[in-house]
Amino acid sequence: MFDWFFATPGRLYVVGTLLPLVAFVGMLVAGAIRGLCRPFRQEGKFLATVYWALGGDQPVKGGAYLATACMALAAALGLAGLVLFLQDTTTGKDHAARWSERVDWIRLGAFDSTPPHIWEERYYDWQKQGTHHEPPPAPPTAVALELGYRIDHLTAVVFAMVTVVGTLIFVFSLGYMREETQAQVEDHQVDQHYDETNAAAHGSPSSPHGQHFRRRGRFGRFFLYLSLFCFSMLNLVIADNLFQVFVSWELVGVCSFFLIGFYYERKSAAWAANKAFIVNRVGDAGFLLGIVIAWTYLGTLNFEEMNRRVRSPVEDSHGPLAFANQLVRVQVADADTTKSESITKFRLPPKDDPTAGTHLALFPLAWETPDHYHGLGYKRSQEQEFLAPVNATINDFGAMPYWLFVVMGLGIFLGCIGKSAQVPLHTWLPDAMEGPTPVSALIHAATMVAAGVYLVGRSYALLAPEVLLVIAYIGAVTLFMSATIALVQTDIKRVLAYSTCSQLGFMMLALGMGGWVAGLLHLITHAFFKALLFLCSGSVIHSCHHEQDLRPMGGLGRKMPITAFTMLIGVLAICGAPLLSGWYSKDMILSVALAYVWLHPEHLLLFALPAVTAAMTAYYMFRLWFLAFTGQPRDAHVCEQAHESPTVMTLPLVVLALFSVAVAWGWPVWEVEASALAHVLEKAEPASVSVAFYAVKVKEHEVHRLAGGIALGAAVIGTAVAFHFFYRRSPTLAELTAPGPAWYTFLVRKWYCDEVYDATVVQPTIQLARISAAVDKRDVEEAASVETAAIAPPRYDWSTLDGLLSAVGQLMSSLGARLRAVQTGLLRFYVTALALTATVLLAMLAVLTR
Amino acid sequence: MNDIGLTPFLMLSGFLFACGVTCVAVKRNAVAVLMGVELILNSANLNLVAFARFTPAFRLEGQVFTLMVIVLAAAEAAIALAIILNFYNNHATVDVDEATDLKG
Repeated sequence: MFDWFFATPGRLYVVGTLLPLVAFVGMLVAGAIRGLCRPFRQEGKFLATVYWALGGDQPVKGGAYLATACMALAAALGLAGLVLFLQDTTTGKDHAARWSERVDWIRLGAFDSTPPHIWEERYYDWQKQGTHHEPPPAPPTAVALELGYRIDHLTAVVFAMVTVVGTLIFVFSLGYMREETQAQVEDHQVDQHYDETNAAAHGSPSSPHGQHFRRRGRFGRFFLYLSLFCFSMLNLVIADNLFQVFVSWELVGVCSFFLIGFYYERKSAAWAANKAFIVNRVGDAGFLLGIVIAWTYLGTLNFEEMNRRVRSPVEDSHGPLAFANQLVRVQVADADTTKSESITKFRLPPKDDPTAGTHLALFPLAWETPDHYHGLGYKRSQEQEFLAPVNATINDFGAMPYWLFVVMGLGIFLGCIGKSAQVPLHTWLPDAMEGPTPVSALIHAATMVAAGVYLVGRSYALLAPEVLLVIAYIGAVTLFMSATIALVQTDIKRVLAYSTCSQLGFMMLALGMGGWVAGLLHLITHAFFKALLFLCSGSVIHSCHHEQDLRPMGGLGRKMPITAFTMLIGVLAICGAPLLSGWYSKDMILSVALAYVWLHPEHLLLFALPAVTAAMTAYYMFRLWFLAFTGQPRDAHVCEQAHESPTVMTLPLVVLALFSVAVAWGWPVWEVEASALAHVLEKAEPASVSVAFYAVKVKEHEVHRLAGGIALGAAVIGTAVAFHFFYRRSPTLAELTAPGPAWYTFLVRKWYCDEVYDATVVQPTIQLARISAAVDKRDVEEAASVETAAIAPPRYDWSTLDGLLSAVGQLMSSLGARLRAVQTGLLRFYVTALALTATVLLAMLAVLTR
Repeated sequence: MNDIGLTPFLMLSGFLFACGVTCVAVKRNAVAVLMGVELILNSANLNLVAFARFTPAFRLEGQVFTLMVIVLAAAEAAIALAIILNFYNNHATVDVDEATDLKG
């Protein structure tokens, strides 16, 4: 048992991934059995026993504990895997064999699953025997969709993060969702009219008029969705190919949809769920486009193979190559030299103008002669030309149009824009706060929205420099825009939601400028402190009877000290207070930005925006904290019954607070560049980063103290302003609710993004749908008359598609009605007709044959 | 017989046939219709024997067919009369115009 694990410890991760799925399937099956047994709950001995054993009329509780236990076990496996992985000393093929496996899922083409190294061995054997023997078969050329996992430092860290944060949030949910365990839950935000209109359809019990909607608690269902989500997210993290990522990507998307719409009786929740799903589809369309291009041109979706295909090898048989780990652009060689139409010759562009290449060279995974090969380069021993067959397999040289390669990168990034809520697809994330708060913490702050950032990091070698610049700018715009909106929001969760958008923008910005480690380090630290912040807000909301508005709150710090203190830690962490986890990552991001801007002064905005935003971050986070926890209660009704949450909820807060403080520590603690987590991540950094951004990396070390100083100064300014306005002056409720100036309204309305989208996309779509419906179908009243066409004369409708199709039937019908008259039933008539017809026919025959 | 040739036979046959069809088309009495049918059959018989007589290749076949038609006509008359009787029993008439029960 243990040998099996220690031979391939990567399987720990597979088990860890499958555990939440086990919980999900178990709960699903148990729920189905209970539902089937329900009709027999009164009589029928065995079935009734099963029914009551599975929870009976009460919402399921056991499943939730099962799910939490599975998640905790997954976290234990994740941490164990992380320790094992960091201690692993094997390298090369041994390492790959221990930490990655892959199986074919759907195979297209020749059925030969021989891996390339086996083929190489065969080739050597053949050479030893002497070349007069038959040569070995050609290397496999078939393409396959695969399932597989590959663990590297990034995967190990993110896996541990997801499982740990997930477990803590599961535990928190046990407390937060407590009222869902009741057989009847009253939803204060849904009025009775929902019940009246839907009672017939859903068969839900109706309650006396004028009250709130009542329904069964959904404790089990909540954990069911959470488990499925965790499985999908973990599967996304360990996946070794783009297609598996895409499958998990859609699964987390649908879990997000379910959980945003958890209170689906609330109209706003249903709308928000739809919005999140549809906006994400826009991104996924781009993602799918990227996948299709990769599949068509690269012939594989495996990350490692794709990287080896587009990036030049480090060395060939004659020594190191100048193009090592770079994208190599080539151009079509002179057409006259092309002998065959099925083979095109490509050539390196003139040395002084590498961007003249219109195509991107694709390198073979297995060389035709494994012991000797020539890479591309300008030296004499290297080749400057290569031949690419039209149907190049993964073991041939090939070429793809460079613009398509850029489109592929942009497509993949569009998927990340949708998932990570970047401008212009950011509008769904704040609305997603309609879901229960633990969901906001787990999915819409800590893990799922980070999937986009993770994917950018994972597929980094596939992104052309142009795409990276787009990523940097999108990130910069997002982080600034979201932060400005967060300045004025009054809903506690919406402030956090916009702050999430903003922090994700920071990550994207860093990735786009070559700060691979900085961006992904921020992903990890942000996951912990943002989960902490959301859970704290959940604790506040829980104790204030689901009041989410910051304005009536105040002075809660005295009533719930643990929540207030842990949230303060989270706030400090996100602001980048020294020695807390956020400090390390944010400093790294800003120093990357400063170094990049130093080298490319034309992109000044890429440093100016994050620097300003650092101040705004501190302002809005402290504004939130001061408004909620300090001063006097502004609305006695909201605050009088506020109390500290039970231990099951505060414990995760404390643990997350510890992580938020210490997760990025290294030795010495006060040195940003000594962060242990950053060093771990650095080992997973693609080689292409150092190649493309070498100058930035060097500069980063020079300027990081300056950048850190700027970040800290900005944070202090923001904090001071917030302190002045919201602590020293402690505003009254009237001041807070008063309408502000025009710019204030502009920010409150979120830069009018929703309005603009509504006017430019949503309304035209609805109009188009209406027009289509009008063209397609006549109205119901007329349609009804079609059914009575046999009695009444038919009404033809030539103006709609539906009417046009019906008209064909109607015409046939009326023709039949007329022909009925011919069949009189009179024998004599038939005979006469027969005789006359025969006569006429014979006459015709006589005339025609004359 | 050889002197007058085939044509008068065919003309007589055609005349009988026309009479039969007219009788079937015009008469409302079912028995009269049956008589019309007999005329039609016999016109066909006349045709057959005439061709048998004047075409050496069909000397035997024409006569055999004629005999067969006579047998068929007898059977047909028996069945048709039975139908007419039944119709009379049910409708108290032998008017074919009344027989419209199966009209669509």
